[in-house]
Formats: sequence, C-alpha cells, structure tokens
Amino acid sequence: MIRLVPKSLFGQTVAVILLGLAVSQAVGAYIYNGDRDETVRSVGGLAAARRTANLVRLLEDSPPDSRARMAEMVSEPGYRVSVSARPPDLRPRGAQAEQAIRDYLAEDLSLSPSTEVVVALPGTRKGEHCPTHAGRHGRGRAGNGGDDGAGDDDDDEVSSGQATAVPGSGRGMGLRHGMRHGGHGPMARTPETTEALSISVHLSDGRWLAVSTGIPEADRPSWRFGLTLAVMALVVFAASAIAVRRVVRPLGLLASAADRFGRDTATAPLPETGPAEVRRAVSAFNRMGDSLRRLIDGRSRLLAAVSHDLRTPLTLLRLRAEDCADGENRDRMLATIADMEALVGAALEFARGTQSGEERRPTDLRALLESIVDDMADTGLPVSLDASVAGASGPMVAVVQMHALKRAFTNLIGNAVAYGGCARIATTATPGGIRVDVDDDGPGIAETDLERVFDPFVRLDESRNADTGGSGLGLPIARSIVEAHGGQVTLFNRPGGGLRARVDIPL
Amino acid sequence: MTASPHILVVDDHREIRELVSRVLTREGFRVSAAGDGQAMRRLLADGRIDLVLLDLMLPGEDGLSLCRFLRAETDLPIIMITAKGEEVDRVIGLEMGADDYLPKPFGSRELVARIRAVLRRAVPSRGAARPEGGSAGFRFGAWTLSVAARELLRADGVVVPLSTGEYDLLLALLERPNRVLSRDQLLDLTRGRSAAPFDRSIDTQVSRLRKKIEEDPSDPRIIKTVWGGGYILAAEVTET
Repeated sequence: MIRLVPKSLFGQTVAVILLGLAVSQAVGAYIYNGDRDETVRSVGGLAAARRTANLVRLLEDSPPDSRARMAEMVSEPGYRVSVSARPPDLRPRGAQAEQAIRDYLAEDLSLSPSTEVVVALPGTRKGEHCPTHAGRHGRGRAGNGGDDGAGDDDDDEVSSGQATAVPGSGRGMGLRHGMRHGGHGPMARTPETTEALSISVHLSDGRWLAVSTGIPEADRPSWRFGLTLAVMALVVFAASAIAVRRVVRPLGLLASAADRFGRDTATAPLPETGPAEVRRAVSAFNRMGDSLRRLIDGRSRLLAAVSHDLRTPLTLLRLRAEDCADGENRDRMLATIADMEALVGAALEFARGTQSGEERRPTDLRALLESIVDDMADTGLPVSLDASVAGASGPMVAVVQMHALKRAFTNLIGNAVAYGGCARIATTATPGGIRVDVDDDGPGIAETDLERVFDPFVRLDESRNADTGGSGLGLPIARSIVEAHGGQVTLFNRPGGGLRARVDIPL
Repeated sequence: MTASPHILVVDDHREIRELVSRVLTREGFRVSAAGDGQAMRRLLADGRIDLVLLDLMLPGEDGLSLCRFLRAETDLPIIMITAKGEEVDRVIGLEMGADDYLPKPFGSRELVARIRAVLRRAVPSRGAARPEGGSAGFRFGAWTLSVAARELLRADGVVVPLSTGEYDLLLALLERPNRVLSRDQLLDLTRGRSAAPFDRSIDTQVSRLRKKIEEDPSDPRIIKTVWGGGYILAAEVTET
C-alpha cells in the first residue's frame, strides 16, 4: 500500500484544499442542478401558462362558435391549441412545477375553485410523449361520434399540429433556451433540452381547451462543468501553492536554524519575516535561543572561572608538595593534586565545549588519528591503529576543529586503555563520511548504562577503582565535540566481548 | 658565559614567585623576581638576564604586551605562563614571540625541563641566526611548518597533524637544513622537548614522518638517509 496522504505541510494543505474544492463543487453542482431544474421548468412553464391564460381570456370573450376556429388560428408549431367537448386524458405527475403553473392560471384568470385546470408534465421527452397523446385523442373521437363540429376541427387540428409538432416544438424551445443561455455551445440547442407540457382548461361553455407545448428542460452536467472544475482546481492549486509556500518556507528556515542551533549556539538570529503566525514563531525561537545562549554562556563562564582560578592554587600546592620531605605523604599529595588538576582541566574543557573559538580547517583525519595513537604508544600505552585499514585508504580530509576533535578521540582512546586495558583503533570510509571504532578488551558496560555514561559526572567505577581516576567528563566532552561536527558517538558491547566506541563523522 | 643562567620570573602572585624562585635556585639557576612590568624593566636594565618567565595575566601592563616589548627590545628567550591553557591562547602567546608556553598547573620538573630546553635552543642561534627571536615557521617543498601552532600544513591548506616525536624531529631538521645529523645528535635535539620514557628510535620517527610528508616514502626527497651518518633535510627551507 503506497501512502496516499502527503507527508509535507505543503502537500497536505494542497490536498485538503483540492479535496474541499471537489466536494464543494460536487455538492454545489447537485444543488444547483436540482434547483435550476425546478426554476427553469417553472419559468418556462409560466411563460406557457401566461400565454395560455391570455388565450383563455380571448376565447371566453369570443362567441362560442368561433372558439374552435380561433384555437386553430392561434395554434402553431410548438404551441398547439385545440378546443374539444371531452375532458383531456392527462395524468399529472404531481411535480412542483405543475402546481405552480396551475396556481398561476387560476390566479391570473380569477377562476372559481371549481373550475378544472389540469396541468401535466409527464417527465418524458416530447418526441416520445406526443404520439401517445395523439393516439388518445383519436380513440376518444372514435368513441364519441355525436360530438359537434368543433370536435372535428379539433381533431383535424390536433392531428395536423401533431405532424409538425415534433421537430417544430423542439426547435422553438431550443431557440428560447438558446437565448436564455446566450453564448452556450451547440449542445444547448439539441432537442433533448425540451420537455412536454400539457394544459387543459375547462371553458365556461363546458368545452375543454387543450394546449400542448414544450418547455426547456435542465441540461445535463456537461464537459463544461468538468472544465470549470479543472480551471478552478488549477487556480486554487496555484493560489494555495503560493500561500502555503509562504508559510512553509519560513518553517523550513526555522527547522534548519534549530538544527544549526543544536550544533552551535552562536548562530545568528533568524530574520522575522513571513505571515504573522510564522513571525511570532520565529521571534519566539530567537528569544528562546537568546535565553539558552545566556544560560549556557553563564554556566560555561562560571565553570571556566572556577576552574581557571583553581589553577594558580593548584600550582602552589604542587610546588609545595614537591618540597615536602616525607616521601609517602608527598607522593600521595601529588597524586591527589594530579587528580584535581585533571578534574579542573576536564571541567574547563567541558565548560568551553565547542565554543573555544577554534577555527574549522581542512584536516587529514587519518594523520590526526595516527598522531594521537603514536603519541600514546610512545608513552608506552597499549594503543594501536589498524595497520591494514590505515594503509589501505588515502587521506581522509574533513573540515574540523582539529584540537577539539583530537581531545574527543584522546578521551575515547584514554577510556579504552583505562577501563578496557588497551585500545585498537580502526577507521573505515562510510558513504557519508568516516567511521572510527575504538575497541578494548575490557568487561564492557551494562546495556542500561551505555547511554548514561554520556551524562556529565557519571562514573561507573566510583566504588571499585580509584586509580583509573577520571572526571566523569571525558565521554560528555567527546560527545559534545563530535556532535558539534554533525557526527555521533555511540558505545556498544561487542558480541565477542569488549567495548566499542564508534564515532561517525560526516565529511 | 660559564655562569649559571639568570632567570627573571615575572608574576603578580607572591607565593608563585617565591616557590618558583626556590625551585630554580635549587636547580642551580640564578633568579630575580618581578611583580609587574615596571619591576621587570628595572631588573632588565640592572643585570644580565638569560631567560624571562612571564605570566600572561598581570595587573597593569599585561603579559602579552610585555612579551611584545621584550621581543622588540631584546632577543631574550621567553616562556609564557598562564592559567588559561587554551590552545588559542598558546598560539597567540607563541605568535607574540614567546619561545614556549607553560600552562598552570605545572610542577617543578616540568618547569625546569622547559627552561633547559628553551635555553639549549636559544644558545646556538643567539646573535646572528635569530635576531628577532624564533622563526614563526618554515617553508619546505609543498609544506609549511608553523612553530607557534606546532602544525604542519600542506600547500592546499590541509592540516596534517604530527605526533610530538614527529614534530620535534622535523623541527630539529628544519632548523639545520642541509646538515647531516647523526641519530645521537637528533636524539639529543629532540629529547629535551618530549621526555617520554618509551621514545621510539629516531629511525621509527623518520619513517613515520616520511609517510606523511614524502610523495613516495620509499624514495624520499625531503628527509634523506646518509649512509653511516644519519639524516639530512635535503629540501630548500625558507624561514617565515
């Protein structure tokens, strides 16, 4: 299953907006179409009704004999009129439009409630409907041969009108429809857009006026609807792309600034631009950075000041202790002083962290490791650099704080020697940078302590080993330095025994 | 010249002055002590001084500016003492013209060893070779050795870290270019700086150094072996 939900804020926002647009378009189209259907029918039907009302008034005002004749004269393709003695066989569908037309007629003609008006919108196309209608009339006449002359006229009229009604009414309605929706394409003029409307009114002389015409029918959702949707989608996409980008870009800047801040608190504050909400976030971030920086600076200054001020008294102590005649006491004092010196040095180093101001310069890391290993081996420590790997690859140059990194490696190797008896260093080139493994043959560290030892002043050997000394700052210092270079330090127990400190540094 | 070297200790801390003076006197040096720049100048005018031990942090005129003054007016070797101990400070101190840099806290043995090493280096070149103190660095082939920063730089600016032994050896060779130096001479010249108990033989250090600086370590062009004699730095060396 491929993920369908986009991950980025940009993707999600655009997706939500597009989805909303599609739903609103669909719902809108549904409502609009239904609504328009009724409207168009009633409007088209009302026009026909008005015409019919006028006709009724005209017929009622004329002598009864001339009524059939007048009906014949008024009849035209698309609006067929006849007067007959028999009630029409119409079946109203019960649509709202039928009621609307009947109400209109009743009101317009001030008809008494007993006057019968039948309006039918059979809901079928005219072409299908008309023959049925004509057939009924024919059958009716055959069954009632004794009707007056008007019946004949009516029948003739009906049949002759019938012959031309199909194409005629279609065209007539089409034209009207076309005018209403001026400028629409050829599709709008197709015969499918009309619907049959039949009206019967019971005249005062007892005869029935029958009107048969067509009214415009709502056109089906067409490709135009699709095009509209597509254009709107495109516009919305572009607009939301611009809007979202304005939000997302400062967010991206914020994220990378936070990232940088994690490595180096001395980063410059972010420019406060973009929408108000984003500006607020940026300004909050800048304020947070300021107070963090002050906090860190304050802590570092305190630790540095204390460590620094301890160095002169320590020198005095040492010079005095060296003068001491009592051999055993002297050696013990000197050992204690050496521990204090190491602690003060480490604390100062830790306080300074990565803010030592050391320049980053391209440095041959392999030569750096060689120099550390050689220096330690030259003082008799069991430290070695994996010869095959060291000789196999060329120089590994990275832009680093050389002295800081030297401190980090020295701490790790020193730990391996102090707690694991020896240190074997191996370097490998990884796709993103270089990897340095420092292995020892010691007992390793309990899994639960592997992370804890990176916390400042945590020492696992407090109770059991006094001569390994250590300030509990070696690993935190190493980690903060390596992380300042965008790298990582991890500790793990090797399957075969012994601890491995792994340093990954990106090039 | 046969008289024991005269050391001038400049430190504002009275106890440090006293203790350092006591240690140095015991080790056979003649010692004068000054608490600030004024006293230092007076003592400089009075008697012949061979080396100045100068604290970086002094009230009034600070150690760096005194160091600059000493460099400009005299060719006395200077050892800077500081409690700061940061790499940056060390480099600045050495760039200001100090010959060595001793971070607090230090012990008497370390102090005496540094003083002896600096005096030994200073004596042969006193006068002609170093009219303006130690050189800031050497250029040879595609390499630059910065003495202040104790760093070897390739032509493209890449730092190639050296071990202490390698650095001392290279410096000894660069200070005496195109002179055959026996293994004993080299051992003598380098031991003063790194008094490590497990010092490798000169041969080991040379072979390590060659791996780092020679294009083809099996056919060395910079550090050549002189059969029966020792080693010679064969490249052209420019002091910077």
